Amino acid sequence: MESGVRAARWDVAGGQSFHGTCYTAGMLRPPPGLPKLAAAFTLSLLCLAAVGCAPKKLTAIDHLKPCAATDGFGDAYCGTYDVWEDREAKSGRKISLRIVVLPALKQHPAPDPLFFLAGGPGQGAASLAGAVKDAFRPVQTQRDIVFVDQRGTGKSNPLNCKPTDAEAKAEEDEEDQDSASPVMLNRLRACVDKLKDKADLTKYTTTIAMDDLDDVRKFLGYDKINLYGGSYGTRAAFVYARQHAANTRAVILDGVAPTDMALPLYMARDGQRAIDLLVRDCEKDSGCAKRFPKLGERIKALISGLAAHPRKIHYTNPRTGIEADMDVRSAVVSGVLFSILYSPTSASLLPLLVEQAEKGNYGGLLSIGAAFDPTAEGMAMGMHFSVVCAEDAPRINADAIAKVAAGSVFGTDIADLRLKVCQFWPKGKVDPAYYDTTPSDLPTLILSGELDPVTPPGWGQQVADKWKNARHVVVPGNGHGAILTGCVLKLASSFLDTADASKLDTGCVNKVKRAPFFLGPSGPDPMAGMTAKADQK
Amino acid sequence: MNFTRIKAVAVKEFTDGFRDKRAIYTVLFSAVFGPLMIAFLLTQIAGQEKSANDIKIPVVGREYAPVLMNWLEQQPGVQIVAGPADPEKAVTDRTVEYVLVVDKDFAKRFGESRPAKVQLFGDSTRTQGRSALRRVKNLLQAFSGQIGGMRLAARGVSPAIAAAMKVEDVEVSSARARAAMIFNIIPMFLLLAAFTGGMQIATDSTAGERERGSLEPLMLNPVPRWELITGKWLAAVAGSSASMLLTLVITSNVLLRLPLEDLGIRFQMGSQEMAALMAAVIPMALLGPAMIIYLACFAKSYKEAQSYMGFLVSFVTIPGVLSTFYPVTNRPWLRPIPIIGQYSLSLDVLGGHDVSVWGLVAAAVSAVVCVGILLRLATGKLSDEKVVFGR
Amino acid sequence: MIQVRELRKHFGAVKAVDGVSFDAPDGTVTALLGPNGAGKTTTLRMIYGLMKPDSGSIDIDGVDAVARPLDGQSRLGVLPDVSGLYPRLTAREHIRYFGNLQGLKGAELERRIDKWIEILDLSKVADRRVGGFSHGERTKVAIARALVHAPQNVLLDEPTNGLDVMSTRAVREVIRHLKAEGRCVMFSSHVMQEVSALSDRIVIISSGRVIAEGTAPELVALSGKSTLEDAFVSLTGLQGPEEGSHSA
Repeated sequence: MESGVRAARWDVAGGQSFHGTCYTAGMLRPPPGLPKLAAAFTLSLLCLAAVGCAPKKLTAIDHLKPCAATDGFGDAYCGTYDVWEDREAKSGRKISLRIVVLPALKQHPAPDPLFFLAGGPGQGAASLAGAVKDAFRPVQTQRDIVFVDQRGTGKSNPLNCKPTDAEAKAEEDEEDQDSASPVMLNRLRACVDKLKDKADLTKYTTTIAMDDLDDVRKFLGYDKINLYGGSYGTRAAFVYARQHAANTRAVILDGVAPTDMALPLYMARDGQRAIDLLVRDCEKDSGCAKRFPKLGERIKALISGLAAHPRKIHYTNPRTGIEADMDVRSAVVSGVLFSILYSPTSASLLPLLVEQAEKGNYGGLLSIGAAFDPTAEGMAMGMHFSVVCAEDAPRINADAIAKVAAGSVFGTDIADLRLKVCQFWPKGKVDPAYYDTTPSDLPTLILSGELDPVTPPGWGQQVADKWKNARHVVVPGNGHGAILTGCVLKLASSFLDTADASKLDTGCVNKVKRAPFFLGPSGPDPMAGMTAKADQK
Repeated sequence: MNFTRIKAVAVKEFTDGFRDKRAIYTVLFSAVFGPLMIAFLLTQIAGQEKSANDIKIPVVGREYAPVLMNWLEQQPGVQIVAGPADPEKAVTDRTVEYVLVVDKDFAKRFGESRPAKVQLFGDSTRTQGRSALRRVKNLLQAFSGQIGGMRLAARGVSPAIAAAMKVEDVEVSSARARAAMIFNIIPMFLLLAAFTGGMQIATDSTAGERERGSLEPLMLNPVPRWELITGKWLAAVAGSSASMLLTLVITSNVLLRLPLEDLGIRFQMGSQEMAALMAAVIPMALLGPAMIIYLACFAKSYKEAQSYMGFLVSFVTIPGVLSTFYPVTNRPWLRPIPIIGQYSLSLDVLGGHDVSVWGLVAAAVSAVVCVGILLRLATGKLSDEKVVFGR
Repeated sequence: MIQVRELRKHFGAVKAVDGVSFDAPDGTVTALLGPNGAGKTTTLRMIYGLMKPDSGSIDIDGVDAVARPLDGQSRLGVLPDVSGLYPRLTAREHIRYFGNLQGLKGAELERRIDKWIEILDLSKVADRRVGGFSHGERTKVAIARALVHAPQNVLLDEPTNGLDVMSTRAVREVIRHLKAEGRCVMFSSHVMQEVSALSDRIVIISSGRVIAEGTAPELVALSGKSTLEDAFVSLTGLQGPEEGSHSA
């Protein structure tokens, strides 16, 4: 970039001054050389000053300020950019979009940054900057990484529906801790009222937000940008690439959630697929097969049993240590099972937890359910529903839910909740064309986790089939979100360098294996997986 | 004041110095040596940082803990290799930087939920491989923490309760400031160049002049002593600033070519930074030669003067030594202290701290005052009959 | 015209110059004759302003050279007892440097440089560095640079010391030339032959005092000896080398 030009200019300045002094030194005939010496010296100082004061071309971070230490982003640059909440009317409320840029480390970085689009919907991208910056170092070496809190998330007028302390207590006391509980529905209903003062909830859809993002691109002075989207972020990336194709260079989609996904609808089906794969893998594993025979049937039996007869149990709260009684309904167990499937590491506990539950011990399930709840923190639920209720819910009906849920241990519970909320949640307008998965020529790297319970490889394949320059990489043994696994980030980084997915050597992802199952409370068999490799020695 | 005469002296001394191969060599040596040194150091550090991204872990007894080996092998950039027969000797002999040794009873103790033992052989006094060793340690702790957390969960206890506190490190220094920690050797070499660059001219035109017996004839001319000293000083200043400028140009070109990004630190050494850096250190090009000239006035011969220079060069190391136990960055009141002021200013420039024009001016003014005092003292020395004739 | 009155200078307990008085008029070559350590060099150094006398006065063309040494210096051309050249400069550069320091510049200076190069027969080596010069060539360069500003008064400290025949001739030529131009020329020497051949007046110094002063014949007459050398030995009462004091 222009720093190269500046450096070159510097060379010239130095060279001149030296030439000057050499020249002067060589002569001692009259007139005495000192005026020239002085002139050369002054000239070089002037050059120095001129170079120092030369107007420089602004880079992205010149529009921002170094982030505060307490932000935890390290050496990032922070700033905001104001957009109209109502982009069409261009009047009324303004939203201050929060921007975090991890500046490229190289002296001459690539001109096109990577925009990081978060999942959820409802996660703030900027809030993730601190968490991913070390892992994304290979990318940051080459180019800026830009995190923008999408409107309604993070610190961009966040639409939070966090329970107050009292509400939290009430929800905890409700014992079943199911998100479809009446208490929670009441809270969300109240949240609509609460948010009315700070937001028009119909103006937080993906299409609008991606026009915001292009404004930020312009504001930061980038010509073309690359996109990384994870989970819902893939949909955002997809929408940006469609609305601003000319400004898009390359796209990485990690766990694809297309616009026509009808989000909660297929979760039961895809979750069941993840269970099936887990059962399959357990059967293939001699230790697991022996320890947990007939696992598939037992999971089904556990949940259907609870559906028929919820159990009253006495348990110790895994965090507070306080003993209490509670009703265990099927939705509680299926909810936890679904959430631990996101990561194969947590899923490795699943057979053991099922076995414990069969014996009436739900402590393990409740404990890990609390620990691995992906929606626990940092999610702006208001924005989540503004997206889902406007974009997905209208395409779902009870029949479809029932149809999809048939044969799934997760049943209709997961989808039902969202639909219940969407009945009262204000919905933005969505163009029918929004749901077309338009073909695109953009260089695209699609990543899917083989074992992903929400965005399994099938969704990625749909896009890969339609997009000419897309490459679909399925990471075996991986759950939701593949970018941080094994060599995947390296692949993504070299894809960004070339913007050509076809030449990537993706063989290294096959090294990834499912985390070994916990066969007992001590963990996996420490001797299992004595691979051929180890024997070679 | 007669500028024509001062000019005549300066031009003569500069020409004389320029024709002196030793002078040219010292200028070139200091201008090239510093940057090469910097390049070497930074490449080493960068290489180390990089080595932590892709690590090979030599393991003895991998067959005792396949569960750990499989987990490690799936981590980004990790490769397991067979460890040496005698880990301690291998680390001591530096054939490897570290070795992981798995206890024979690993599987038994792991299966019983007792802490299974592994040993990590390393040498903490060694800088090489330190980053990689740290990463191995972190990986082992991550595995331990992960299994431990899940064991708690399997027992119905939330893993969150295992940690009573969450200690967050809030790093308040900027990357540039941390980079400046690594780059603080640059101002050191610039300051050194201020001395070495003008040293030859300054000593040859004073002590050397005495030694040759040319001082007496020179002083037969109706020229005030201070004009002579000033002219000589100006010539040395030209040498010093040329040396500094050359050092800066070469350093910046070297820095531009180094893989600094591997340090994980963004360090943009643009022309503006360089101009500011030069502005910060250039008063030393005035002060350094003045110090040499004053000191050389005590010497009867060029050689004797040279022997004083070691003493002067040690001045340059003062700020470096000082900075190890007293923070010299961002201390505006240090500005007017010669050498330390320049050092602290250039660190502040490199570290991206706010350096006000007044700070630069204060540092420059105090340096100029010192120059005035030193030249005045040197003039006094030169007027001493014992100095003129006492060879 | 140089007039020295009651000049005194001591180094510690040693009285190097102890009340020296003499006149060196214009158009005259005055020789300062004396044994080693007699105080010749110290006397000259006080005249050319590098040593401050303890007492006494020095008058150069009406200028009080003790109070205003720089003004005295500008009226003087001096060849000190060491040539003290810069090995890396050329002959021409040496002359130009001193010319500059005397306030000369431009075409006028260049003209004078050329003149002196010609007079001293330096044209072949004028643009070579003096590092490789013979002793004679060096002395010529030193003379040229001392005289480039055409001073009215010229002091030469042992000018022919160690020179070969040709160079010695050249130096003597210069001295005669200066005298012919009506300048005041003073030189110190302990070589009798030279003194008698060149000088109009002789000032004999011994132990920091003027012992005798006059033309060669006057001094011979005064001492009652037949030759100047004998007169010198007799007048100084020279038994052997005197106290090896400061003046070298």
